[in-house]
Amino acid sequence: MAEDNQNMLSFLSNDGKTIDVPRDVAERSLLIKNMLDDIGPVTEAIPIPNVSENVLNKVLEWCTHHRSDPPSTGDEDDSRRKTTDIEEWDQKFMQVDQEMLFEIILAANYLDIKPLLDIGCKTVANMIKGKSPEEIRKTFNIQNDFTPEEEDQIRRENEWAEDR
Amino acid sequence: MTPLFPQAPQKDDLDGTWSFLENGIDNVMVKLEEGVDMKTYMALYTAVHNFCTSHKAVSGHAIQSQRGAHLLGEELYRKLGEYLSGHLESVYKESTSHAEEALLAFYIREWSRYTTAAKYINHLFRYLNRHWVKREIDEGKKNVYDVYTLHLVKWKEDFFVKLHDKVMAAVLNLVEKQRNGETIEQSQIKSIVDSFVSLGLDETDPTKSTLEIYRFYFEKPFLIATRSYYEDESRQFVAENSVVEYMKKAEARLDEEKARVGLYLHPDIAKHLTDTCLDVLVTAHSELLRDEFQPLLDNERQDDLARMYRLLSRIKDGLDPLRTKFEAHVRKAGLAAVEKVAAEGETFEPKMYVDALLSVHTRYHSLVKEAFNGESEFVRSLDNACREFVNRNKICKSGSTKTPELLARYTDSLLKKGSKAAEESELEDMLVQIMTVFKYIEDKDVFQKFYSKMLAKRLVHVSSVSDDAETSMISKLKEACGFEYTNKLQRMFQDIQISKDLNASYKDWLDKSFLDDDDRKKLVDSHFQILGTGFWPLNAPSTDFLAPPEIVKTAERFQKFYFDKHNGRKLTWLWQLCKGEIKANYIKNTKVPYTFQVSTYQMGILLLFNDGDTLTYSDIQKATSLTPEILDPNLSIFLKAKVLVISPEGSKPGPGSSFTLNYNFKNKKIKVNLNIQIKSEQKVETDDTHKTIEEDRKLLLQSAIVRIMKSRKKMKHVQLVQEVIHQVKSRFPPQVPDIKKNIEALMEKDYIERLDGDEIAYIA
Amino acid sequence: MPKRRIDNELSKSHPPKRLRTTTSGHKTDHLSSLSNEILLHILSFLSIPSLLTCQRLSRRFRALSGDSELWKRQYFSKWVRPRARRLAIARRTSFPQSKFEYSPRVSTWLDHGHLDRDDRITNWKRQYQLRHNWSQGTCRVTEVEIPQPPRPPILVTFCAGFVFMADSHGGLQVWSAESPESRKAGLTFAGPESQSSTPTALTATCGLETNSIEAVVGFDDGRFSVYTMDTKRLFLQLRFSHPRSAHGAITAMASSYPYLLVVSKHKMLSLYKLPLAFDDSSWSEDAQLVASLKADSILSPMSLFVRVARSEIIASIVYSFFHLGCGWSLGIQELHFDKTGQQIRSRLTTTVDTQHGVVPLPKSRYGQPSAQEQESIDHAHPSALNPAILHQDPPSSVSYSHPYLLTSHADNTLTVYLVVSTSDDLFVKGAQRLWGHTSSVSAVQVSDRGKAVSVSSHGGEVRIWELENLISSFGSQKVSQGDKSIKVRPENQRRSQDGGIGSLSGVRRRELSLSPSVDIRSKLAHVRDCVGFDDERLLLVRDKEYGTQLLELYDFT
Repeated sequence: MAEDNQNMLSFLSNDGKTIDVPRDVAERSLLIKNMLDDIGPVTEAIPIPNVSENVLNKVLEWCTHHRSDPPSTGDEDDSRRKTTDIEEWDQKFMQVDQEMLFEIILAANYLDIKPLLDIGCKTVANMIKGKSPEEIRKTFNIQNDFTPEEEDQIRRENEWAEDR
Repeated sequence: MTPLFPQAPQKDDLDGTWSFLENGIDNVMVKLEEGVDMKTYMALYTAVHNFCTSHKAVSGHAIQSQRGAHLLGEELYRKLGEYLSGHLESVYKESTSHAEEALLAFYIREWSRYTTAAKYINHLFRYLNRHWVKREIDEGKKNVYDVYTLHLVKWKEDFFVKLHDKVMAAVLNLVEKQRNGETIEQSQIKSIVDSFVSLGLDETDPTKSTLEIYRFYFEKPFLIATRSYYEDESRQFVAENSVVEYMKKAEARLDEEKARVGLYLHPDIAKHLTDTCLDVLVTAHSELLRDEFQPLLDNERQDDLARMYRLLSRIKDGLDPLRTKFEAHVRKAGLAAVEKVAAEGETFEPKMYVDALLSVHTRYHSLVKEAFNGESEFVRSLDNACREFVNRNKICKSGSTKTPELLARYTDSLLKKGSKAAEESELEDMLVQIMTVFKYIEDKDVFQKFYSKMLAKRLVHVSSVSDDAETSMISKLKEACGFEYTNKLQRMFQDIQISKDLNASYKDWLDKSFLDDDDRKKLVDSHFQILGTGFWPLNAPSTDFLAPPEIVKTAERFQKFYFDKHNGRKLTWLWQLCKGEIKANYIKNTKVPYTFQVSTYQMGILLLFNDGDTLTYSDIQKATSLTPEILDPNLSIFLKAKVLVISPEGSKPGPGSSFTLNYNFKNKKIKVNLNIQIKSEQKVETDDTHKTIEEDRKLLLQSAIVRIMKSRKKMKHVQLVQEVIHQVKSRFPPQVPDIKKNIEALMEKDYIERLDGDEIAYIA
Repeated sequence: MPKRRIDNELSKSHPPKRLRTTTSGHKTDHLSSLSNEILLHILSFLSIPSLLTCQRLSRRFRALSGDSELWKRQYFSKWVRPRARRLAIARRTSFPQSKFEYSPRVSTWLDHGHLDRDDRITNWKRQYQLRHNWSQGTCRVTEVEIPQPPRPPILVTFCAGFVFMADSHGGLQVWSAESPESRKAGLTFAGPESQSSTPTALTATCGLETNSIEAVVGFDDGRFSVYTMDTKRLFLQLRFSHPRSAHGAITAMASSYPYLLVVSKHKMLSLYKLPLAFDDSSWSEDAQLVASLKADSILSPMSLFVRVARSEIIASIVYSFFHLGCGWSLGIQELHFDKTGQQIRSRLTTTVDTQHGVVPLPKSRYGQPSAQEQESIDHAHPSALNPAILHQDPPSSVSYSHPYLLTSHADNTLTVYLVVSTSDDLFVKGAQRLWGHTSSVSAVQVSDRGKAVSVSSHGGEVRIWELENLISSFGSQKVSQGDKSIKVRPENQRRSQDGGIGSLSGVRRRELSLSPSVDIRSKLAHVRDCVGFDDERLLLVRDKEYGTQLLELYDFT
């Protein structure tokens, strides 16, 4: 790679694999960015105890693609909430099996990569939209722990919003 | 074997998680210098993350149904708070062994260590911030802050409140030392200020900060200490030193305090600090300072005056009393200067007078500029004073028209050939100065009258120093008073120009005309000026005059030429302004005959002697038909110059006396100027000018009244008077009785009429 | 360190369980394995129907989808943001963009201070539903029959969720609007004086302390009594009685704590200040007369209104009068007092000009009249003889809550006026007829937040009006009127009468009345008053044909 040593970091996944990462890619993760700001240069591999190699690679693929996006400070941008639109590359990126999808969400949440977390959550939200409760349960294997009476009660409780 | 990952505790084990975290936090808090191991850092973050994402919290089911989701983290947040309280308690205990500067050093050291740690811990607990804390704040919970803010809140509540008195006392002692001239560690105070400012959290909106804490705990005591320090110092200083010294001291102190803000205080204090210092150092002593103003003026202590101005200009209403004093002082100086001139008696030169006025103005104008920063209110005071002494002083006690007359005469003396101001630039400067005085003159119309009279003379007698200087002066007046004011002056100028061309074409015409040799022999070299009646301040001759035949012929010839050119115009010969030269061929004692420069009247008298050496008074009078008022003084001039000899010897010209040509006339010069202005003539002229001013003012007032009424049609009497005053005051200050008189006059002429209720109407 | 070692081993051999257990992903509930904060984040991208669907997935999802913070955001985008936008456009001002952006801090929202309370947590889903129900006119109605048919009729008022009733037999009685089945507290009018006197006016206002309501009963002998209701302990007590006066029966009262405005039969207007409430020891206290003046112009129907501005107490009397040019009009008298009771100024204005369509646009506040407004003014002049708004009969009721002034009329309409009161001017800006009722309107009530409720005379039709939208369209071309109000559709009645009709959309105009074609004049007495409403409930009093009175409570929760 072209980057010199100063700008290279390495991650150690929880299954013991070392992955080399350019620093600006790694700093898409606010966790890593804050840590480097606090501690200074790091020579050892950084342990990422919650993420496995294949997920980490996937996350880093996203980070590499988005390495020159403006930095997110993480806390604001509530205004964009309404839209669940996802840009094309990200959509393609998210075409993975459910297991990977949720692993990515977990990793993004842990590593504090807000845009990636948003994309993941939007993807899941899009899977929920327009479905009946039964269809949703089926999609995600959610176990229905209501009694029929309870279910009926909830339906009635929310009736007010139905006829719109 | 070192573990691959520094082991984080079981994720749903609160005690395990906390004791792991506490150990890590404590290292950050106490031993940050040693650095934090990257793996530990990651493990601590992970521990917080794992705890918050663990699923165990099903406990709050009842609450859940109310609020919806339940997030984990409250326990960690609480434990962190408790840890901080404990840590700060121990820091406080340690602080009690320090005092003064050592305490400040301790506070700063601990503060910097604590806030650095807070930044780390805030990052370590970021997962808590992102979710649990954010949600609590969103829900509107009070007393939940992000982890960094929590550190500040704890510092404030558990440490700051117990210690701020002592810290502040140490700060104030340090500042006092510095004010007393010692060198201190300024950065200490700067750090304290920064710390106090950081503690200002807005309770209603945690994302904002306020200066409340800083203002209350730092600014307030600081200002109180400052006030009492300078109260003491200034009281003592004033008692032992002069006011001038005190002003220097106060100014230095003000500068010093201003610099202090930049050095180590928060800019928020700047205004309050300055206000406090001004209040104590200036306002409290303002009477004392003002009392010193007059002595400083009297001694022309410009620097000290400037200092006083700077000080008093910074407090409310500080300068007003000074302005009044200044105005009175300038007026007095002006009147005194005029008095000195008046002491010379009747015969002083206009230059002396104008110079006296100017010197006062110049002196105080420069004082205002240098010491009072050219401040507009002082300029106004200066103007008021100048206007006062220019128009009302000992010399013009008979009336304010004296100043414009003298100013006009002075101007004339500058613009007439033979003035001493040789350099053109010098002359220009003097004209500028004249305008300075002119600006203050109330009776500008008087100046105009005299000026135009004198300009007329300069033009007729071709005695202007230069056309450029004349033009420059006229354009200055135009600039000051407008086109109307200088209209006639400009027309006079034009007439002279036109006359030049006219003479040239007259010469051509003369060459081409058919004259017999006899005529040509008797031809007189002539030059004519055609002056428009309306523009020139000239009167028809006051006496009849039979011009000598040579002149009459010349005049008739020109008239013929002129009427050919301009049919229907009327020419009036102003003999009194004409002059000529005659050669005295009868006197044989010189090689070159004497040339007499004479007025036309004199010419008429002398040419009579071509026909006989002795003439009686009545012969002369008959031949010239000059009135005795003109004839007698002119004869006297001839007698005095010994051109003529009177008999009986020693008598005065008059009926019964006779005059003989003096063949033995002698003079050092070949050219003898006999055309001397007669004293009485000059006096009459001045009086006339004043009389025409009265006349003109009446006209001006009446035309103003008619103009106003024509546009308004109907108006209250009082309003009309006001309006008239407004319109003419740029020319002269009108008197209300005069206006009333003119209103009456116009009523008699049926221009306007009086209606009921004190109203006046225009009659179309 | 042994423990650590073991943990270490454990985590090595069991990396996160969910990774190991399955590869197909079809047997595992990955979604439910996420922690709450992530699930909330996912749910925050969903619309309201999807959220409600998610509530039916499982117990956990039921709790998460009903999360108050989620609904708070929905509430903001549905009710707050659009209004802020609209207002910004109407006022032609540019709000900072942040006004339109969601902020979890309710205090930054437009006019939502009442929902930003420290002492309780707002259930935002419930708030959303409430707002939704008002906007649709959905509610449940409860009827309470008042036992004895009293003469004169019973007095009713509504304050902070409590219903106050006064009559000479039962004294002052208090009911909770939440459960109107049982009386919460009551006191008879004791004492020798009370024997002969009948209550003639009733008002209630929230007191100084959070859980107290001050109720004032006025009597036909000019006396009034002040009661304090402790809403927490459900305890009513008489604080004091103000002695009878020579001005005759009290005909109307209005209050804004601690001020009480009283109008007596002899047209005497008095402003009192109530003593501050103390738990005990205040028995002997009396109301302090602040100001008193003769007010000849007062004609019924009228409306009193007191409001406390920063340094002033403003008492307003709105009365109706007959104007030759434009029929029945309203006069507004505004009296300003300072805190000591000194009358600062008194101002009078009428609706006459506005009825002629002359819109005063004074001062700078509303900027230059737009071209359209100019047109409408010009247009108004030729028709000056024929006012745009002409009422030949007196209004059936008047309600004023600054700045809104409403009258109801027997001709099926309401008229709304906007009163502008600045420090140097009082005038009526704009007037508009409101159509929507299909029968004579007998009562109207307006709240200061710009919501109004009107009732048709036989009580069959209750309509809700959002006045702010109407006011902001003043002066512009008339908007289609019919959509401006929402008809109240009590669910329980609809169920019984309309049966299976399920798909309803737009503004419904289904009649509920039992006898649609009755002579209006005889029915005018049917709904006697629209007593009042708050954020959750609406209260009406009806006279039944056979003389008993009926309290109707419309619950929008």
